Amino acid sequence: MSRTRFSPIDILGITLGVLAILVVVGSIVAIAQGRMFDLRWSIPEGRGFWNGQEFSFGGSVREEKDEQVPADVTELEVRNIAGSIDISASAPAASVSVHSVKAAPSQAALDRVHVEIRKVGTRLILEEKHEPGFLIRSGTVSFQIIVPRSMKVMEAHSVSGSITVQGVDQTVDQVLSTISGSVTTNASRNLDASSTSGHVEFASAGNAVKVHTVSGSIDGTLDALSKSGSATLGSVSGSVTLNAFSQLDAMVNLHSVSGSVACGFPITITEQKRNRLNGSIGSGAANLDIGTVSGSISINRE
Amino acid sequence: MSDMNEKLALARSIARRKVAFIRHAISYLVVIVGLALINNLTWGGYQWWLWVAFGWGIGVVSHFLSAFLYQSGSLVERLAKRELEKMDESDKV
Repeated sequence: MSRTRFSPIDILGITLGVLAILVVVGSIVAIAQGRMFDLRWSIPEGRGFWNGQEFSFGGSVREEKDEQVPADVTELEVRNIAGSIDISASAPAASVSVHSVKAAPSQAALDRVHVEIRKVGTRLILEEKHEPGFLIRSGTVSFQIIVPRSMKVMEAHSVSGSITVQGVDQTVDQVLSTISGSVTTNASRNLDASSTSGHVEFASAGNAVKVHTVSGSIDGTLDALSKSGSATLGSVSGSVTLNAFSQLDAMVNLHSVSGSVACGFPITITEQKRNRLNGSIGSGAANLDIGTVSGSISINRE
Repeated sequence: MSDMNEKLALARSIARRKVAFIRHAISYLVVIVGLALINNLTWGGYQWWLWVAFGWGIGVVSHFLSAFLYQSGSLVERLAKRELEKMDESDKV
C-alpha cells in the first residue's frame, strides 16, 4: 500500500491554496451581504512620510459644531459625500439649526474636511468639502438639521449615507438622492427620491412623484394625486409596495419582469398577465407607473 | 528507457505547475494585502479591494485545483487504470 508523501513545496502550495480559498469565500460573503460600506478597519494611529511630507493615519477623532442660520430662506440644499443627513421641522423656528458631526481617523484628516454653509438668494446650501491629500484617509460628516415649517423646497444628496426627513408638512417639495443608504421621508408634496443600494420609504401628496432604486425596495404612501398628476416608481431588484388614498383616479401600469403584481383597487383591466397589469382606477385621470425587474409590486387601498 | 523519460517529463511538468501556482498565489496575496491597506489608509469607506480579491481569487483557486488536485497526467493515469480494471473484469466474465 503506497502512502502519499508531501514535500515542503506541496505543503506550501496547499497552504497558499487554502488561504486563497478563504480569501475568496470571505470576499464573496462580504459582497453578498453588501457589507463593503460597513466594514471599518481599525488601524492604529501612526505617522509616516511620503515625498518629504508627513502624514498621519489610523485612530479616530470627532468634531461637533452647532450653527444657527437666520430663517429668511425657503429652500434648503444639502450636499454630503460620506455621512447621514437628518432633516426635521420644528413649528415656529426663528432660524435653521445645523448640527454637524465630523469624524476622521486623525486630526490631519479631520482638518481636511470642511462644512460650507452659504446662502444664495432664498436658498441655504450646506456642503461637505474635502481637501485632496494622498494617503490621508478622508473623514465623514453627519448633518442634523432643524428647519422652520415655512420651508418650501428641500434637496439632499449623499454618496454614502442615509437621508431622513421627518416632521415636515405635506407642502414641501423634496429631491432626495443617495448612492448607498436608505431614503426616508414621512411627508412631502412633489418628490424625486432615489437610492442605488438602499430602501426608500416615502409619503407624498404632490402632483409629481418619482422614486427609483436599484437594489433596494420601495415602501410608499400616496396621500393625494391630482387628476393631472403622475407617479413613477421603479426598482431593479427590490419590491414596490404602495398604499394609496381610496379616491385614487389614475391610469395604472404595473410591470415586472420576474415578480408578481397585485392591485387592491377595483380596476378596469385593459391588459393582464402574471407580471403585468394595465388598466384604469376610476376615470384614469392621473398616471401611475410602477416597474421592477425582479421584485413584486403591490398597491393597497388605504 | 522511454518509460523513464516519460515519467521524468510528467514529474517536471507537475513540479513546474506547482511552482507556478506558488508564485501566482504569493503575488495574489501580496497585491491584495497592498490594495486593502491602500483602501483603508486613504478612503477607508467603500471596500473596493474585495472585488479584486474575489475576481482574481477565482483564478488563483482554479490554478490551485489544476496544480494540486486535478493534475492532468495523474487524472488520466487514474482513469486509464480504472478502464483497464474494467476491461480485465469483463474478460474474466
